[in-house]
Amino acid sequence: MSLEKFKIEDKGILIGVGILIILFSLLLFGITGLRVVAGVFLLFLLPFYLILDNFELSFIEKILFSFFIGLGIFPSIVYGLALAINSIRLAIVIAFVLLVGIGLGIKYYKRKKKSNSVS
Amino acid sequence: MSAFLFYAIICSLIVLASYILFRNLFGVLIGFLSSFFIIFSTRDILWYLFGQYPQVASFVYMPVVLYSYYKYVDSFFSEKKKPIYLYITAILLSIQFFFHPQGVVASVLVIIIFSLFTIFKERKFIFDIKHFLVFLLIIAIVLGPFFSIPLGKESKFRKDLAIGSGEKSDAGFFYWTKTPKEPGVGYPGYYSYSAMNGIWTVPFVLLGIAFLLVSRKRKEMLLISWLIALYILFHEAIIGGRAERFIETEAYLFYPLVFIGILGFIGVIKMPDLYKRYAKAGFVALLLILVIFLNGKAVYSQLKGAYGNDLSRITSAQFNAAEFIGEKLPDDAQVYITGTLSFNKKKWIWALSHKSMAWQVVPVINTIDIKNCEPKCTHAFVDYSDLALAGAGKEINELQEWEKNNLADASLLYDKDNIRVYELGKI
Repeated sequence: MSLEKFKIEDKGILIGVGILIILFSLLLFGITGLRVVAGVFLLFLLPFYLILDNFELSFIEKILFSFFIGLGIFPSIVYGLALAINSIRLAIVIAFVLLVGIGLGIKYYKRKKKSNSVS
Repeated sequence: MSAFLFYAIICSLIVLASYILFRNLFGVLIGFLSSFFIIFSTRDILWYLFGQYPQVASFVYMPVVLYSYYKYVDSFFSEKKKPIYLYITAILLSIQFFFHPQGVVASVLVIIIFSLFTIFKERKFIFDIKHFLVFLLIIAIVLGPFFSIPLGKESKFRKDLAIGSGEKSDAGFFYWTKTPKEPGVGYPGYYSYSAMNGIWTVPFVLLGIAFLLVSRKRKEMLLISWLIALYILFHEAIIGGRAERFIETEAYLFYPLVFIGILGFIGVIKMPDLYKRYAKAGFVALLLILVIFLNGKAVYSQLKGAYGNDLSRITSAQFNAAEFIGEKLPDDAQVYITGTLSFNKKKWIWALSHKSMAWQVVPVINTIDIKNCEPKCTHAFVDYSDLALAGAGKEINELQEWEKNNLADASLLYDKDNIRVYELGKI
């Protein structure tokens, strides 16, 4: 198989890379490494992936845009919320739930709209 | 450790950012080779060693911003416009601004030049008022809540703009980069092309530029726009800007060009496919050998000796004091730091404490009157730990004298391992 035909979009490959990163972090840096990488995946990537999953983007685009958007937006939301509720930890939880909710909400709304238009 | 690990991830993000842009423009091979070369980008590694520089995070977004905008423009030439890419560009630009305005300046300049090139060359107006208004609205929404931080009356950004550069250049347009007089990065060779990238890259970069100029398709025009933007940014001092900024982004364009040129020309030369494949494989192998054994080796020896002694890296005493500041001081504290020997350690203490900090760059032992601290300081971090390790008796006396004169009416909050933290203005 030539490199040109190599499909990096394949979900399996990217998931495999993700698992390798987690294993590498765990082996090299122990539980702290695992916590950092898991935190990056969970807080920066996942909520924005769920939002971008509602748009016409390729898998690799969704992953990368989510990560780069999450890196800037998630801490900003947490910062703003923490100023209001005076707790960083609680702000993280609220921001996470809020963003995941938005992602799933858009998906639900789109699905409903689609099924309405079909019927 | 988690803080250091997280910062290391951020400093390495350019590898990922570069991959997405060049993989999508020129295929997996160029994407892989470009991002592999960037692993050994000396300036990016230096930025990690120097401490925390928000410009780096801002510049890392550049390839992703350009990719997103390119996809939007490209959609004008397909059946369906894809404004989602423009909206993502708006979010990414706003985030760049959060990290550091320099990244936005660089990205927007490339975007403007590329847009003009596309309009003139392809005779197509790539503008949709509805998309553009949403673009502006997104920027306003993302930046709005934090508007006062970068652009408020007391913001450093506004003050810097008002002061101007003070770094006029008389070198003219016929140079690529040069070492500024002051303040500069202070690392030998930082402004030297050959020291940072290796002189061997020059012919390949020139070949890459030649390929872009010969080919001039949309994706090549994006890189030509980037090259022109780099030239303008590197020479901004001539028109009154600050000297020698944006230099970190040189590798982000030039390293991919090393591969684009040679592989691009092999692709268009008339010869049997089998020979082409051999030639490509041969040059890829040669370039990888050069990258690993010249750039990689240099970077390895640089990193190997980076933390040679306790004075060159943050100590446990400094780490503990930074954590104390992070946990105990109010969020709006402005801490004046003095005594810590190296600039990068001050930056690390700043980042680890999550508090705003100020210091006098030169000399190491500050002579500033704390009342004149700008912006107004609320706390002071007086660090004798480095000086004690270095056995610098004279400097310790100077710092003690400074402490006596400036902090007589301040209250001591922390006093451990030769580091003291004061709250100012309380008796």
